[in-house]
Amino acid sequence: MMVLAQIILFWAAISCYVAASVLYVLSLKFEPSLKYTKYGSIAAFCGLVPETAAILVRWYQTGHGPYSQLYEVAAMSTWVSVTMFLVIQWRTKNLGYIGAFVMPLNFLLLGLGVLGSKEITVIPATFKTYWLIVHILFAKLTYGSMLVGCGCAVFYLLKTKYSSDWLAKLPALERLDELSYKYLAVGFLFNTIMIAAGSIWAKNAWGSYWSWDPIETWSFIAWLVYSIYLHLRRTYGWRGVKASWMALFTLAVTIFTLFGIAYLYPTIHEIYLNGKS
Amino acid sequence: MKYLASKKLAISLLIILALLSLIGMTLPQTDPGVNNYQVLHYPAYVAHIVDFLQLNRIFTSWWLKFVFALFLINLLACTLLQVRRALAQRTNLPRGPVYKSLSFPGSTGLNDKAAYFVSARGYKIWRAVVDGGPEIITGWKYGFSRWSGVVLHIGLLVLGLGILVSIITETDGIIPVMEGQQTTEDRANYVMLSQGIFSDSHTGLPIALNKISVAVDKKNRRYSLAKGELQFGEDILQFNHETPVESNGFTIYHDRLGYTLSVDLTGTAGLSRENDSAAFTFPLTTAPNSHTEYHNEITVPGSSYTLTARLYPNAVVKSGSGKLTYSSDGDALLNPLVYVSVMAEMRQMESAYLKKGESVSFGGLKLRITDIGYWSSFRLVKDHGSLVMYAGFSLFAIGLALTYLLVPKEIWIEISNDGNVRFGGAAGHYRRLFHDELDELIFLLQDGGSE
Repeated sequence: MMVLAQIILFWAAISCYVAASVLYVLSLKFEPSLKYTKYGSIAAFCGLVPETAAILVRWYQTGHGPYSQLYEVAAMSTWVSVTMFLVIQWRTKNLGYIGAFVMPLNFLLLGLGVLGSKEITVIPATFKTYWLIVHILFAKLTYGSMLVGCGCAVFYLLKTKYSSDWLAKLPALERLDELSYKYLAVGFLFNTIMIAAGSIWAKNAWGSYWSWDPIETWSFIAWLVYSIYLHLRRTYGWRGVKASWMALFTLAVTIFTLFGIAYLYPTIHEIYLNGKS
Repeated sequence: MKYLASKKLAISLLIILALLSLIGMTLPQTDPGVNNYQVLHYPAYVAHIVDFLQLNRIFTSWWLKFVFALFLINLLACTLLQVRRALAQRTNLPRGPVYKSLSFPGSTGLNDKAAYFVSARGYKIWRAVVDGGPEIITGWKYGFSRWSGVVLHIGLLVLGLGILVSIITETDGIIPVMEGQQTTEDRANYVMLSQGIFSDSHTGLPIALNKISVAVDKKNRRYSLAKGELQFGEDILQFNHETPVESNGFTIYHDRLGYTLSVDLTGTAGLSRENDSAAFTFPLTTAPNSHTEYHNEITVPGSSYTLTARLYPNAVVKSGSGKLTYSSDGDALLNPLVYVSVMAEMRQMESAYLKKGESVSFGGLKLRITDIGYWSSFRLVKDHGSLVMYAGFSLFAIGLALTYLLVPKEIWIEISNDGNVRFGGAAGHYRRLFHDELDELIFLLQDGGSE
């Protein structure tokens, strides 16, 4: 019964996110664009309501936070990402268009999660620590800020390559470039905190700060790629097209690290996406 | 020094580290301490290269350590260079480009007004006239942010230092103790121990598990979050599963929980004269293929008897078979029952189900179960490096926060004697807002403003 309620709520959220995606895309093409982005934001916010309810029902059902199985991980990641995007959009002028990049990725991830296993995982005692909460929260924040930063990078590349009326509505190139850097740089901060908190937790749980587990190693690779991006930008003045491609590469590595590794390698993190402990 | 501090070297090392990690994730890796079997998968000449370059054990290879060492040296050199620059500069911004050039003919007191308006916006002012030429008024804000990169890099260095201290001095091991019994913090009593290069000393202090209590859920499963009282040396410590306790320089974590069986054996037959009675305790571990039965097999001290014990923590009669057999309903110690089997020279002497206080006799001996209790293991960690690592990470986080939160700005106004004025400047980010600020300043000067 509780699983059925969750599925209905999650699909309601997905429907809202699909609607939001369509509205954000339409805002690029049709006038008045601000009206479309406004309706897109309302649809995204409406999606957050059933998603929040579904996450809470799941939490009640399992007795632990949403951090095991792709089903829970995808739900929590999209929830943080959509909330973060809405806050950023509210605080930053003329950034609603980025929703045309952020929202489709989120509804795809949530859809993928909902189709996954809903089996309840027994959480080991080592999971009952504040460091884990910090670790997980900052992983989601990294994903959220990366999406916004890379959304800006994508539109930067489109605007550079093509010229059309709808692209003219986007913020100026310099502004897109600056915003992309800003959110990726914040993402780097979140990523660093995520790795540090995970490392402290690993010491308590498994007796070692670092054991070159596949997810640890890929997190390290993602962190290095992030560092390279920031160094190239700050030191070598990489801007515009080169920086945008580098940002997208960083996003690809980060998404692979967050959602892909556990399917490819045997890892002590298997409980995270596969529910095996 | 110049080469060691080069940004090119820094980026090259970051790329090399990323590539090496990627290779480590692509090629099969051999666990440390395990035979080097991975090379057998390759043809002989490839195996030779893989083994020589340690590509099958990249994360412990000497050259990954070498790259890390080089990276730390580069970081140190960069940091020193940054310190030198930070001391020499007001901000870490380059002199910004010209924003606007305007003329203010006949304007009086322009220099002082400009300095006043800039200063009123919270900028620190520096005024300079070069060889009787134009006066340059420079204002800067959040110049302290030039230290953010320094703090950030020092944080990484301290983090590296912490790892080094940890490698050298850490003691991290697991000691099991039975309820009501005592052991000592000595190398021999650890079941698992990892020690740093210079940390081979132990306290020899007694460790006693005075009592332990375990919560039970509705399905009679024992909840792993045990709590109890531990004595370490003179210290009496109240422990639980979630929070470590500190004592005698160690951080102590409650680790695992299991059962222990106390047995009293009396009689003479089969025992040596010195051991005509024997009392001993032994831990029971989870039986294979079962989460609720615990067993162990030991040789009775001073004899040739082999004693096998299987514990049913909450015994219930198993129905459906003609023989009286038991199973356990949950793993909580509610109705403990032990199945004891005594073997001698591959022959079963006796077997019986026993509760606490019950006994069984065989071959002139009497075996009595005196107690069924818990054993628990504790992880003892002494790691001075962890404090250094926390400090390093904190500095790194502060450095990052300073980088993002403090946006350095520098305005410069060049005022010639003939009334020509050039405005320029730079900001860390938010350049559009910065230009708005410059426009406002220009408006005030044109207006002859009164702020």
